[in-house]
Amino acid sequence: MSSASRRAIVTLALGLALGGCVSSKVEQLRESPVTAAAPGSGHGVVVLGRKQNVGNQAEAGVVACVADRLEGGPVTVLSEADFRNGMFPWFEPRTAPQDPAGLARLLADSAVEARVAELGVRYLVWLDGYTSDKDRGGGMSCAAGPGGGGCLGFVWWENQAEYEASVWDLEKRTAVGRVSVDATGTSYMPAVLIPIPMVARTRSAACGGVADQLRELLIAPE
Amino acid sequence: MTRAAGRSFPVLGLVTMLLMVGCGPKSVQVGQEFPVPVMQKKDARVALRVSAAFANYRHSEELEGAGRWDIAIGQANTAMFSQLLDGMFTQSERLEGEQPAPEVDLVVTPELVDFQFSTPELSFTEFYEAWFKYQLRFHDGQGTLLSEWPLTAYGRSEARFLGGSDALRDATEMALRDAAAGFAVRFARDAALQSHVER
Repeated sequence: MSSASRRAIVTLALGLALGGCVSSKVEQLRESPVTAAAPGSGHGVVVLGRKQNVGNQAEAGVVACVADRLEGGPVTVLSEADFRNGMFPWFEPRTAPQDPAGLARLLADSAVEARVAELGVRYLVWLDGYTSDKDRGGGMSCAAGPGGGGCLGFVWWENQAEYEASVWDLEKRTAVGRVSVDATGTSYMPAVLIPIPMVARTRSAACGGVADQLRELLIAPE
Repeated sequence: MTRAAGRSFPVLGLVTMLLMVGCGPKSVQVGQEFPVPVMQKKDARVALRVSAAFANYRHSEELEGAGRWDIAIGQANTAMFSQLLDGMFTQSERLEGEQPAPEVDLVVTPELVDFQFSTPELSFTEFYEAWFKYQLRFHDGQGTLLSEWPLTAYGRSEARFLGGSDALRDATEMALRDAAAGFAVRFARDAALQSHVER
């Protein structure tokens, strides 16, 4: 391997290792207490992305990320697709309940209530929000010629991830609480011959923040 | 020179083939599996009447900047309505063409009035989107019109996780699910149809 290739690999690895800066603000509001899971059994939880807002909806990747991080201990997670298919057509964008009162009306149908019990889901988490590009700046120019090529410059961009999760208790038909996360991150990419991206993992930070708070909200103190 | 040229022909042929594949229409096969609806079945014998135009519907369109798209919709549409009626009523069957059905309580005839779709190149968003507009007619077994209403449905899929054809297939399937949800809600609110099937 030539020294130039080795240098390129080292700088790329360095860039990946260095992340941009992320700052997060997390809030939790408990509206009603949760009951401890029975010994040997867990709380069935499903995380659903709110799809009523046509403009911006929680990305499928974020919904899956929160679900993955929630799984474990007394929390067992049913996938969004399995829940929506199992409850079809009552959790489609036009039919999904908008509030706990709507949930109570839906569960008044004995067929729907029986299916919820069959799926083993106790808590439903609605995830709303999105990650957006807030600002960007800088400049970079790249050139290539017979003797080689390279880039010179510096660019940066800022992302904001705002998500809110509402938790409903399907057994009591009430709201358990809400969790909100506002994460802002700035990514940088300096380039002296080779661009080195230092990406702020804003969405990942928001996902972790929501999942950690949800676990706290859902796991009753012993 | 001759040997090198001989070796380059298969490579050139492969490149040409790949380029030709890239230029062809994007074909979308919409899935025909829909979940069984969760509801109390009405005790009625219902028939779905589908025309050949409805059952074989294909949408083909050239989009500026997004190429030609060919979307097979008819079979998926028919499967969606069939499975929906299976879940809503104790007995359901399918009628083709204009054959009479004096033995059934209700005949449901969907007509696809319009189908539209959009790609990220067109909408400047990150989504593939699909829209359906139906006209639904409900007759009794003797052919008397009991009710008639339009139904619109929408679905979308994120472009970032799937390739173009897969994302549009996903959006179309979401729109079909939305149509099923809309049908179930609207049917429950139609007093004329409710009283007819509950007689």
